[in-house]
Amino acid sequence: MLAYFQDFQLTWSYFFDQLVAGLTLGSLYGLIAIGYSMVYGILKLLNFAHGEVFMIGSYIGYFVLTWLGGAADPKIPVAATIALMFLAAMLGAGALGMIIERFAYRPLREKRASRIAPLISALGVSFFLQQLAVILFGSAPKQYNAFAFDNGSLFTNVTIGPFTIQYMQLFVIVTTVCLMAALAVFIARTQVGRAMRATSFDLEAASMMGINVDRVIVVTFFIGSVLAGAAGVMNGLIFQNVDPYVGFQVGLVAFTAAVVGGIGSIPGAMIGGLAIGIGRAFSIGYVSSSYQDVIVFAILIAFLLLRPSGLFGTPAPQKV
Amino acid sequence: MRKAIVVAVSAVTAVAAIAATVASADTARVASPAAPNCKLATIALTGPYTGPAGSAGLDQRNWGRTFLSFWNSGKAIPGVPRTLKRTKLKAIESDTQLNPQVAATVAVQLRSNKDVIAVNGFSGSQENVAGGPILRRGGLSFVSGSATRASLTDPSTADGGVLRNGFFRRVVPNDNFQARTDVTYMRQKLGVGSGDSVMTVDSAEAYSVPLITLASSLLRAANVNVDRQSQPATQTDFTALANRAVAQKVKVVLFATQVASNAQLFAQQLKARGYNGEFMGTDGTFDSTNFKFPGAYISSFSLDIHDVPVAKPYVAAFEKKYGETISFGAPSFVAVQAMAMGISAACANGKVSRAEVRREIGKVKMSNTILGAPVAFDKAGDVAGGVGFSIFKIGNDGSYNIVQKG
Repeated sequence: MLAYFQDFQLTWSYFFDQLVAGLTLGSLYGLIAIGYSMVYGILKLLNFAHGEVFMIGSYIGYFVLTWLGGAADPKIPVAATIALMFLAAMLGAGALGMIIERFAYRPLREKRASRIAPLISALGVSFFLQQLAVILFGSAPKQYNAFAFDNGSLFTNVTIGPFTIQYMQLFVIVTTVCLMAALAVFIARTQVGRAMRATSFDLEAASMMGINVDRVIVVTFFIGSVLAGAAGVMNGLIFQNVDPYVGFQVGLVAFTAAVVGGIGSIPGAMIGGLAIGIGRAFSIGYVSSSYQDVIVFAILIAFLLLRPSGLFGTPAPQKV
Repeated sequence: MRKAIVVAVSAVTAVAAIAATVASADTARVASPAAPNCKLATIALTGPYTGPAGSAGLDQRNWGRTFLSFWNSGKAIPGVPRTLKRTKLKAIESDTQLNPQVAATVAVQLRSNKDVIAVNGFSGSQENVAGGPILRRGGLSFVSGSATRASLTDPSTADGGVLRNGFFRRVVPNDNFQARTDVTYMRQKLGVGSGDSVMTVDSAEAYSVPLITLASSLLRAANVNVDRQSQPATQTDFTALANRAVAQKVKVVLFATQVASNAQLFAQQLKARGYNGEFMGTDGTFDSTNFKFPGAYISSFSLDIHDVPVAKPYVAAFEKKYGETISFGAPSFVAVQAMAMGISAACANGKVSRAEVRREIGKVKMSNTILGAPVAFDKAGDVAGGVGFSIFKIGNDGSYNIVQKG
């Protein structure tokens, strides 16, 4: 078996490089997947417009960067520029999530529409936002040009023993960990977080207990979208491009991550995202990029056959 | 019950109205069957005006429009005899988004539009594979200014078999030339020799796969170790591929894509991983607004049109109206020119048909063009003139500097 691999593939430093590449990509998938999972956990709704929220967040980051003079010549310090990009993108994406909930989903909920109606509505919002972005921003990709930040210092490598990691990769992974920790604290320690857990457990019972379910749903959309906005900026910073179609593709993979992790489970979504990211990187690194999706998705299908409810999901009881 | 009756009556009325409209439209069509005319003939300009290749597509469209303005106003055009009686042209424009499904839909529309007598396009090879057979069934001739997939003009292949008999033509050389040019340049100028490693990457679509397959086989024939990879254009994380290239110490990365910004990103990610070798993009990356990585090489059928003396007045007219050209679209000027000359020849007797236009386009011979070389077509529809692939190197300021003329 080892004879199959070339010498360079059998070094620890190469393994670590691919692991970091996978963790970086997986972090983005995971952050987006959390939005899918949170909304599904409470509303049992597949919010297919979530990928477009990520895309809009990425655009907001780009426009803030441009407004502040661009990566090559920012008017304020680099750290402040990046912080403002995150702030604007997270708030903008959060607001967009709330608007989508208010105008595309809540009316259907209030009219007790069938479960298929919000799904179609979600797809409609997804295409609407995609085309709106084409009209407003043009179809050509916008480039963050983040390599120009501080003469490229964000993309230089930190060396730890035999291993190297880029500052930008480290930044993405650490930021993701911080956002996850903040989310965990919010869900576990705050009153709204407890209300979210109660609503997720049983929406009607939570409502009867005096929880303002509509408010909880709005907060859920807001938080999921805030994370997607952050992922959008990180995607732009590390992968440079944003175009109107980026959300659909990434959203589809993130949705898969949410299912693999057990849809409705927040840690599951993150781990599902990381699994897909790492799977892709190792497929490219050790087999071939030509087969990356085949390998990753074949493993995922096999996994779901063994555990249909996903990694952290619980099987739905059948009522007879 | 009453509501149901109202709905049923409304539905029947609507269906009747639609049927009446369709019937009257059919009648109108029967009443005036000879829509194409020689006073003001209609052609179609197609291209990816939106989508990730939008900037290249708009450049093509604008060059097509520039040609039409010169042609219709009777101004001099290289390769057009002064004695030729020009048939005035108007154009309808269709966006194909570089998407085969959209191209097929556009092809159905153009085939059904009896006014249209020839088509400029399709831009992408995959679009020609999808939409070409539909245009063929409508008897339409189509001339591309950028589709380079070799099999499109090879009758022994499925693609070429469908498009044979003069339906598809192009004014750019095919990928057999490109692959050979790239590999020869790598071996002779970039020092790639026996035992060296090269990574070749396609974008998992009809344009890049055969091109990279051929380049890879030429490299292997020269005993070069080839790491053949594939990454869809929608996926912009090249980090894992960059790790692989660096670890293998490949001497050159050859990347075929129609999304120039992906080439920029791949080159940047390679550099960030400490890659010391060379990076070469194929003609699909020839877009100086989106691919400007210093030191990278690009092969292109198009010269930098600013450097072609005969093109100067046309470039000036273009840039006055549309802003700076990226040069990618300049061959579309020549493609539309071939169509215009063919249509004019077909109109010599005052009548025109799609079949006649198809035959006449095949006979067009341009002694010179704005590309700085003559263009004519061989039997298969390939360019038989002197246009070859050139190699450019990107300067520190992002400029494209020719290092080998085609």
